[in-house]
Amino acid sequence: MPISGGETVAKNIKSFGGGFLKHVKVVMIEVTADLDKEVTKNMSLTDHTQKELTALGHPYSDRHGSEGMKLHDPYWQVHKQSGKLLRSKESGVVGPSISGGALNVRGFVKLNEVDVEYANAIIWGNGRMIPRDFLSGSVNDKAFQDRTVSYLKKNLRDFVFGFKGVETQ
Amino acid sequence: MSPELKVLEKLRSVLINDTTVKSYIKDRVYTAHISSIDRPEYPAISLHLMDSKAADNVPDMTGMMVQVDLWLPEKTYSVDDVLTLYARVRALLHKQNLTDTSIGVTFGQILESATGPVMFDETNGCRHLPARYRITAI
Repeated sequence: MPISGGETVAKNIKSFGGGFLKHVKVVMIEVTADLDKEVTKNMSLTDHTQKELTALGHPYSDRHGSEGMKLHDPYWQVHKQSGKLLRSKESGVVGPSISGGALNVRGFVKLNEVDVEYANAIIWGNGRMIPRDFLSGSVNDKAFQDRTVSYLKKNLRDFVFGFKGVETQ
Repeated sequence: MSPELKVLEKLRSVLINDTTVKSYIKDRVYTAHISSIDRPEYPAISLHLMDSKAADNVPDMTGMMVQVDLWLPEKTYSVDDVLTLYARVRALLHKQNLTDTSIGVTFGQILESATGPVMFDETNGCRHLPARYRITAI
């Protein structure tokens, strides 16, 4: 099962037609592309090689504090090494769908831990390193949320919006 | 003692005083991520403060996210054991209102916000199940 990460959810309880559904999808595709860009940025650091990180000991251990050695700001950003984790990233839009008289659509970015078994260890931590949940961190970024809400309000008036980080699996 | 530390201490106290939880981990509830503990003993639970910030417009109120990690050695404990312990911890924390006058902490709200999968951790030979709780405390 993939690690569901950042999600932007929009919900509308007003009337709607066929052309409007297409518009909703296009808007959410735009928002999801922005989130994907944000996640990509936060998992693509190149300022430390694996050799340098190894030489630092265990920089993500809680021994250095609850945010590790804090090599970066925010501390949960992740380096790109082989590129395997980045290649496992997927994004998409679900809906719009109509349920209970409401129109729902959501855009998501996730990782496929079947392809990259250590993905869960990064998001949730393990015995040697603190969790670095860059999926939730990306979707909860204030600048991203402000930008998204502004865009959605302009393009999907009367909708209710929400942001969700990693979910119960 | 900082509000965050009080919260972690109270969570620890709730967990180690429960018969079911204690039957698994005795009193091994670490109030820091397991990676900061010298030679940790298992099975254990560790509490990791992920972030905290003052609540808007409410003096002295702090909102925080705490990850509760369950660590049970794979050779001794099954996935069912992990899920049983998880269910008990959740019953003790999720949607509970807790107050401890001895350390001066009151929980406005505790909500489980996410649960990870049951994983095997090669670094310590344990089954690992993390869950995150959003906590508001004063």
